[in-house]
Amino acid sequence: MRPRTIKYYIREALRSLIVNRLMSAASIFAVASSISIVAIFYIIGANVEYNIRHLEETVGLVVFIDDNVGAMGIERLEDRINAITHVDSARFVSREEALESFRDWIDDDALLYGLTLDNPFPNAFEIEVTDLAFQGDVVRALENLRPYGIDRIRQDEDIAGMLTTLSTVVQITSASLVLMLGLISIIIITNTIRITVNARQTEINIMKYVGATDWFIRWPFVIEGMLIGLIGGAIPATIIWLVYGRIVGAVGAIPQLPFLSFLPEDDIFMYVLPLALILGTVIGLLGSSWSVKKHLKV
Amino acid sequence: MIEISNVSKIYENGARGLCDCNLFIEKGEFVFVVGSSGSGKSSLIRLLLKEIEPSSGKIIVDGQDIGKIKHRRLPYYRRKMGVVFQDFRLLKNKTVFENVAFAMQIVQASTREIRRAVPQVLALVGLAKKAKAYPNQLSGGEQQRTALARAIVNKPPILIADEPTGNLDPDTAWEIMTLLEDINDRGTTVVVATHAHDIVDDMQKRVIALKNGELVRDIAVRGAEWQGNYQEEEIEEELEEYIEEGYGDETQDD
Repeated sequence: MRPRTIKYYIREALRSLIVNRLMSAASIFAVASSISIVAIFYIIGANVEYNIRHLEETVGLVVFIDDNVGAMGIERLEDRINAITHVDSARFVSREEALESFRDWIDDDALLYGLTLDNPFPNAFEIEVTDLAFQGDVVRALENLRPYGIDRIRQDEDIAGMLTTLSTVVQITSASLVLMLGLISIIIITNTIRITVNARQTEINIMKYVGATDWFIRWPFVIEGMLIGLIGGAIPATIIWLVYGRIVGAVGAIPQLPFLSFLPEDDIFMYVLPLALILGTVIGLLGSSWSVKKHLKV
Repeated sequence: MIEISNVSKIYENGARGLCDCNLFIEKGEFVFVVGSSGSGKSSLIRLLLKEIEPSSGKIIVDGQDIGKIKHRRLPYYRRKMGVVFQDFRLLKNKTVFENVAFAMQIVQASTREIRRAVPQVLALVGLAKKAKAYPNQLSGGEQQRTALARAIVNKPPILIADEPTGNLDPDTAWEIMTLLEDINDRGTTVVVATHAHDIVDDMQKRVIALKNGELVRDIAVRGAEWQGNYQEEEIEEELEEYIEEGYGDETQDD
């Protein structure tokens, strides 16, 4: 393809965008609306997922150590625990540390004084698993370590199971919604672009009679479609960039929802920007290619 | 230049477009194709443009069997012929200059070539001063001149005009026909499908008459007539004979 031909295609595409501005605006609006919905569902899904992950971290798996195990024994036990597959980290919590934490919780000086005299808290390990779904496997492996000084194992089995299920449901739901909405967008946009192309059937016809090749006719339409998609994708991306932080700030400030946490703006934008731009461009490209194809058989 | 052998066209709905048509058009000829609506004129034009395929028979244009041209190569075949339609078919959002330049852009002519050739051809059709006008700012005659300029700017060996004067008043129609004659004088083979009997009668060109899809009459010059099928040599001989015998001046209208 010669540079002047490429220049011609781009010029024609831009010109057509401006000349058919009403239809272009309609197409851009269709793309922007569809991508906004896809992006909003993506953001909701990602944040729900983020909150679940956050909750998962707080779901404890705690191993209490036999009081007879000395410092050497604790060190060896730590190594054995860390060697278990799917164990992300094992943090040693000494008896004193446990009592300190408890002190922050309780406001009863008499009780605290009694506890200081005879600390009832055992040494322990707080264990984090790489994924809650593997917690059961980790617990079974820990059971095998009982001869090395493990006294008791405490796990929030029900919460872990629930969170795992919830996480899977959210993942599948948001992925299906994004996919479904993406397909619906392609159909809507293809139709909108098809109307634009239909309106220019005569033009395509003339091009064919004058001896234009299919690609010579197709390129300006394809570039135009891609530009429509790109602009249509950039609009929701910009809006999200402008308002996400404010919305998150406002929701986060609601005192009744202190447990909610949100993905940082940059993390969201890192995915939403390429998602919106690529989805828009691909939709525009496919929509215009399919629409023009029908008219090329002259 | 154009050789049509035993060509028939039956449409899917059973309508007859052409029936066992045989025709030979020499390089540099000017030929009128006449006939009433549904006679097969449009079918003949559409077959030549390879817009439709014949049901049977063979069409050879410029030595090339067009039945063998693949869809991918079709644009290159169409570049051999300039086409002019009754409804002008100009791109409304382009100026006269751009409409003509467009035909050159598709053959990837350079900007310099376009800037040189388009004004020349616009001058030829008398539109030098209208280069910047848009089609809706032009009269019917001017629009058809623009279409003509676009059709000839790439210097195609064949020019096909389908009812080029159909939407024009008699005076303007004459101007367009005179232009077609000028183009023909420069060596381009011109095929004109038309209803305009008065112009056909006055222009003294070869006339092919179609009726119900059949070629019913072929008048090479006034007074010379053949029925049905014929060969190139026959035309040549008959032509010479008629001219030598001075029959050319006698009028024999169809």
